[in-house]
Amino acid sequence: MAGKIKIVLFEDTEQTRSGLLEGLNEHLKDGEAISFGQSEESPEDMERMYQDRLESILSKAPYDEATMLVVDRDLSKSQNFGGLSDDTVAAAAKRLAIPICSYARQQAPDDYNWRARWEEGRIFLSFENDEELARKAVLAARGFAEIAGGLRGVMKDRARRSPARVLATLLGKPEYSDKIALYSVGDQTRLAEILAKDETDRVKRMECFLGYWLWDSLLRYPGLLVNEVAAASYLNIATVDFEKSEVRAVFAQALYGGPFADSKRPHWWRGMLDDIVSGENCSDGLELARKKVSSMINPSQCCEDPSKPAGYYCIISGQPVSLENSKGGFSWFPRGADLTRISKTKFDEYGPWLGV
Amino acid sequence: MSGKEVRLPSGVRSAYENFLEAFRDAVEVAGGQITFPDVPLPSCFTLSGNGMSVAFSRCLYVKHLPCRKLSGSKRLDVVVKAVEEITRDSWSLTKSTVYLNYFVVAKDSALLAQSLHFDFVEGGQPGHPFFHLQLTDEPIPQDDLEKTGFNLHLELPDQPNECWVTTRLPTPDMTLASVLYCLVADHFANFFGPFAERVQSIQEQLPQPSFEALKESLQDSSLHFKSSHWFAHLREPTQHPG
Repeated sequence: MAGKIKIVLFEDTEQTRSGLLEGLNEHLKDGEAISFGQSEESPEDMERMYQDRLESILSKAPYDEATMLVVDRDLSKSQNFGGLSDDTVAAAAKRLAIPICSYARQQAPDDYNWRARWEEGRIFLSFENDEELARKAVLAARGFAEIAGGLRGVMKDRARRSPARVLATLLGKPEYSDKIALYSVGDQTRLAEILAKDETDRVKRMECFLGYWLWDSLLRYPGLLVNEVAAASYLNIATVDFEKSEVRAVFAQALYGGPFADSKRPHWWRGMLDDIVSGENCSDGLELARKKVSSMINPSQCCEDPSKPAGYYCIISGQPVSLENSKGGFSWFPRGADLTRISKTKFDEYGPWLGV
Repeated sequence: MSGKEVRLPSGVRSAYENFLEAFRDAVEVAGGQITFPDVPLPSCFTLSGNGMSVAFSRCLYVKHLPCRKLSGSKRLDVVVKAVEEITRDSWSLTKSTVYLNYFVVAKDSALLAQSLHFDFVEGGQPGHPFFHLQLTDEPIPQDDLEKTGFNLHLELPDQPNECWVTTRLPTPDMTLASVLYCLVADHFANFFGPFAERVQSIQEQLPQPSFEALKESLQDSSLHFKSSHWFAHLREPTQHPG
C-alpha cells in the first residue's frame, strides 16, 4: 500500500458535504478526506479557464498528492466556480493524472446509472445512500493506492514493462499476463493514454491507467474475472443458490482479493474456479456443489429459455444466458472477455448498432 | 453425459486459448484474416467416452494466405477443423484429427484445391501409420464452414481423384498445434520467428499425444527402415535376450 490515502471531495451543498466527509473519514482509517473549498487566487488567476485554475489549485497544498478526487456531478453552486461540472474537474484531474470518482446524489437519474455501467476512464458511482457511497468511494481510492504502492517496485524490472505484465504482477498472477493482454486489444482510448505519457510523471500516469483498466475492463467484462452472476452461470449453478454461503465456501479459494475487491460485490478468478471444479474430478460447479453441499442445488437457467443451462453472461441485462440464445465476439468487447455475451432479446432491441 | 460442456484445469484450457490467440496474432500481423465460429473456447470442450474423456472441437478460417502461384484476381484461403480427445485422468491426447481445406477463391467462388487431414489415435489403427496424413477430396461439412464465416459458393473438383482416398503418408506427431505451427512457417515465414518464440512455452502445457508403441519402437532400434516405426502398433514387441 502507498502512503496515506488522501481524498479530495468536491461537493457544493454544505449539508451533503459534511455528511459525506464524515462518512469518507469513517471508512478511511488509513488516510483523510478533505473538502475542496476556498483557495488563494489572484484576480488574474480568476480570469483563467476553470480547468487551468483547478489544475493549479490541485497542485498545491492542501490538495496536492491526492489519491483520488470524489466529485458530485452537479457543482453549479460552487463558490468562485459557478456552473462547474464534474467533467471540468475530470479534465483537470486527467492532466494531473489523479483518478476521479463521480457520483450523482439526487435520486437515480437513469442516464447517470447508465454511465456508471458503461463509461470508461473515470469511476462513476451509482447512488444508494450516503453511507454506501462513502464506502464505495473509499474502496476505489484504496484500489488506486494499492496499485500505486506496488507499481514503483514492479516498474523497476524492465522485462515486466508491458502493461499486461505489470498488471499481472501487481495482481499477484504473473501467469495471467497473456490473458490480461487480451483485455487491451482494440482499445484505442487507452492506447492514446499510454502514448501521451511523459517521462516525468510516467509512473503516476500508469497508476491511473492501470486502475481504470482494471475497473472498466477486467472487472466489468466477465472472462478472466467473473462477478456473482457470471460466476454462477459459468459454474452452472442457479444465481440464488450461488448466494448461499455454504455454496460460496466451496469456491472461496478463487475469490479475487486485489485492488477494488468488494466483499459486497465479489469477483472470482475464473481459472481458479476451473481448477477447483476439475481438481475434484467434476465436470462443472453444479456437480461439485451437489457433492459437497446439497443435492438440492439447482442448475443455472438461461434468461431467454429457462430450460437451458446458462454458462455465459449478458453484459446488457446482467443476466445468465446460454450460448445458443446469445451473441458474442463484438469488436468492442475486450477479446479476453470470452464469457461476455449479449442475449438475443437485447441484441434484437439494439439491432445492428451493437455490431459496430 | 456425452456432449455436455466440461470445465478443464485452467492450465489445459489456457494452453489451447493462448496457442490459438498467438496463431490469430501471427495471421493478422502478417496481413491475413482469421475468423472463428461464434463459440467461445469454453464451449468447445465437452464430455465424451462415458465421461472419461473430453472432446475438443474447433474450426477456424484463414483468408489471404500468401501464394505466389496465384494471379492477383485470386486468393488462397484455408479452413482448419480440429477434433481432439483428451483423457481426464492424465490430460493427455488420445485422439487427434485435423482437417484442412485449401480453397482458391475468385470473386464469390471457392474451389476446393486440396483437402487433407492429419490423423492420430492412441494405440493406432489397423493398416494406418501411427501418425499420418491422408489426402482426400472431401470438403469440411458445409455447416462447419459457414459457422466460421465462410460464405462463398463452394466448388468441388470436376474429377474426384479416387487414388487420394487410400494415400496415407506417415508423419511426425501432428496435432492442432503442430498443424497451425506449420501453417505459419509455410505461409507467413517472415513472422514465424516471433510466433515460434511466443508459443514455445505453451507446448508443454498442451495435452501431449500418447503414443507409447511408437516411442518404444524408436528407442528399440534405429537400424531398419524408418517407416516401420510408424506401424509399431501392428507388430509384436521385440524380445530382448536375457
